[in-house]
Amino acid sequence: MANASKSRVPFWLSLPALLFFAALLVTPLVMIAVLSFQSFDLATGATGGATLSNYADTLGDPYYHAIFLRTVGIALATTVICALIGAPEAYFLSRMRPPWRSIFLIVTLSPLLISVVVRTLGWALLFGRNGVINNVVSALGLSSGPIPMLYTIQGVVIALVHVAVPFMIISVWAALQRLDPKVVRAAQSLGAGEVTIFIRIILPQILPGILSGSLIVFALAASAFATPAIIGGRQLKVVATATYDEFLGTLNWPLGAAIAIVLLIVNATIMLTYNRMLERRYARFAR
Amino acid sequence: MNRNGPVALLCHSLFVVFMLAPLIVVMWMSLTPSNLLSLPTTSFSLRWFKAILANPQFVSAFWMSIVLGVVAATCAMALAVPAALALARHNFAGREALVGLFLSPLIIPHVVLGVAFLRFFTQVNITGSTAGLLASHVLIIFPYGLRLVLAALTAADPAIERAAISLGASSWTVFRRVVFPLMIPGVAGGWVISFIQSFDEVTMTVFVATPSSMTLPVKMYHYIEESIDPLVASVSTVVILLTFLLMLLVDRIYGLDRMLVGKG
Amino acid sequence: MAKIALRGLTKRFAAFTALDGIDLAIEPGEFVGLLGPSGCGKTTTLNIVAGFEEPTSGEVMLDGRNLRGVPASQRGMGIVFQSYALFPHLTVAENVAFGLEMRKVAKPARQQKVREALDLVHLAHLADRYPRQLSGGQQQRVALARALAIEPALLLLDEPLSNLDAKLREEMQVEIRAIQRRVGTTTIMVTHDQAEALATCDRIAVMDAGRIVQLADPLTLYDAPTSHFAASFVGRSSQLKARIVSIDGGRCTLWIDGVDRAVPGTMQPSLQAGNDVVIALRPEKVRLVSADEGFLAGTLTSRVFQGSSWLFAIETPVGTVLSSEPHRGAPAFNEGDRVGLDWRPEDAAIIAGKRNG
Repeated sequence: MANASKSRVPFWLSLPALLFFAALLVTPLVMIAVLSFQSFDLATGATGGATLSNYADTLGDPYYHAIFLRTVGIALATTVICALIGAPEAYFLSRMRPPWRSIFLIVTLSPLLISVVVRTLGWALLFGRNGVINNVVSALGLSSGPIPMLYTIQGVVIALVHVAVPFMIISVWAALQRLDPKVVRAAQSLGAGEVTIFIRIILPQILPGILSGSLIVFALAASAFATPAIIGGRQLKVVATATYDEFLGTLNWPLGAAIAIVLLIVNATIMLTYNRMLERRYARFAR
Repeated sequence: MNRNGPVALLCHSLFVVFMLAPLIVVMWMSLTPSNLLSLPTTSFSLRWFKAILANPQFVSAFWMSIVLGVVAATCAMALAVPAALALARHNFAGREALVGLFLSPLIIPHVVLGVAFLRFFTQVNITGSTAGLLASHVLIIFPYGLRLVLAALTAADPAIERAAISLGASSWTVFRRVVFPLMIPGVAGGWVISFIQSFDEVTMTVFVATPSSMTLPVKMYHYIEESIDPLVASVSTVVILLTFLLMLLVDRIYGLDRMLVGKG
Repeated sequence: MAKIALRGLTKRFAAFTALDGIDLAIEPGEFVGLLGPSGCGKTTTLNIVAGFEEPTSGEVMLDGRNLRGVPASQRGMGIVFQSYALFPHLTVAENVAFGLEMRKVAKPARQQKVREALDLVHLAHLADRYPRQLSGGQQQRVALARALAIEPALLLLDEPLSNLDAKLREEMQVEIRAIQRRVGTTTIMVTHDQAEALATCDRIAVMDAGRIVQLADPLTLYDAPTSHFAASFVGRSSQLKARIVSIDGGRCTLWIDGVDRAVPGTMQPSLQAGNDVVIALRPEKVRLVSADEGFLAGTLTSRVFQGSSWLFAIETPVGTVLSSEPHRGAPAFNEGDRVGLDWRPEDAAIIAGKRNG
């Protein structure tokens, strides 16, 4: 019951959580932002002073350019593939009969609840030179030598799709729930076939769901750590693993902080503009 | 609605295989009797599960993750329940901003949170402490618990509270006899999902965990970085089975499909 | 003394007046309906009586006691909510016992009263079920039993039947009325369904835009609506613009614009010669006769069979007039026929004021 009360009750109820967030979220984020403007002495490891050099390094160095481009490329590819397989799968799920619908919804979504490390290990076992996929392929005589998958971009993308596609399904599923099932019957009665119904009737209505799912998938893929670290190895660095190396490898914290801040800003900017765009474009679907 | 045609069912089957393949491979691999990473076909063995017990680092990391998850989920719910009551039942200035703040750990990349916590804990001199690890986990799992409690509270018919009032119940009685029982599934479901999120977390924890406060996913990550062997597959199998048990629990108390698709 | 009296009840929100001076006195044991479209203020009135909202001004008097400042939990009103609002985690018996528990009724007496309340609604055999195991109609009865178990000073029904299907709704109308007669609790029912109000209430307050536009017993309300709104909201009527040309005791002569025809009517005390009025005709009061008879002539444009009756629409120079007659075989007139329209002068309700048809 949302009563417009001027009482202090909601204040006291939310105060503990608010204080906790101020201490544990706002303070650390401010600290890391401050750190990103400090200089770093390679010889002594000391930090101090105010400088923009960390951002100049991050945004100007071709080495970091490559890392950012690779990260964005991987995230884009992951997003597109998730949309292409997640949206139809959500549609198939929505057309299943009651017991199966719940069962397969759980089967396809519950990997979400299993540790990313475990799932990535599974892909590493599948992808290796002597991994399961290569063994099957050579046993069937389909390829002369082992297909490289581990330590490749495509390997990283496949594993990331596995990690992120449940979010696409959830998002499209929500859009499908808002859809009036009778519109399909209406289209059928007017003579439309299966494919026409999906493309002309269903797709336009679940597009907002696909787009907001894409947002989540992109953000997740762009900031993923464990999957690119394990499948990509040391050569295929992405922003998250580069940040990790600066902090725990070379110990250049200010530079690592700058990379993290750039990631945060890029992520937030994409999310906000995309969200704004979605709201404007699909306001007419709002009920 | 219509039934799926054969093409749709084929695509669906391939998708299910894709989703389950890595998990099945891990579990299958863990049953190998050999030292090599090859799927056992003729003989199976539990030797790699016994090997876990001989590895004190995995065992202590496992218990660390369990205890951390239990305590962090409990703390997060202790903060989230009153906050959810304030957000669901009152309309006040800044309410939207507060919701945005409380849900923001969901959209801030965990890498960024990781480095921010590392810096923060270094500055206040609690690096490597369990308290810091706990606080960081409470923060990132808080939104999950909050969402489920909020959903349970907003799904309830507001007229139910009015009915209790009209029958003579005081505010405290309304809370104790009506509101609280109605939000129990949300609180319990929220606790379990919070525990799972804490138990799984690696990206943020990898920055703040130290050898003295090592969680299982981070330990596994470091282990895999060095080499992949059947031992880590058997540890993963334990994680999968434990998660599966927790899913059954969520399904009983809240409805797993309801929680996953975020409805109700 | 009235059981409950509303005096000048007004409720204003920032730029919107929800209630604009409601005066209503209800006698002990009376069943009064608040009838109107959504947004007319009927639910706000109920919420103020229940104590869920405070009026901007005006008083609610219960047994002569001013209820201002008395919290909802202390008012002792039995409320049946539109959504029933049963406690989903309590059994039927526990739901009904809740209010008694709050009143600290001892357990044996409580069980006895729960039993009686459930007997009253014929649900004693379902006492141990949970609400979700019951049908909509059964849940409705539990809600009623729960409200009555506390022996409320007043029974408030908020659209109690709107979630039931048509057949069940008619059965429950009869049952609610019978139960209310038996227990004798003074009752206010909010509804937007005119048939429901006509079937169950002793008196009906028709509300529009925060005011009571007519307060009358169902028969008077139906036969002699005093406003255009009441005439069109309660039942069906055809409305003809007219002017009073002369008055003769209780009777008057009306001039219907457009057909240059004088017709007799029954006079309303508030009207005078020369007033512009509207004649409201109920379909069942309008008889079809041959074209050269009756007060008006027109063409029969549609003839609809409705099971127990026939409904005719007749196009006249002053608009469409509806007529209905009980089904006793095929009617004498066909679509396209010229027909005459006749009615008894006392059956034509004369409504003052607005001429916006």
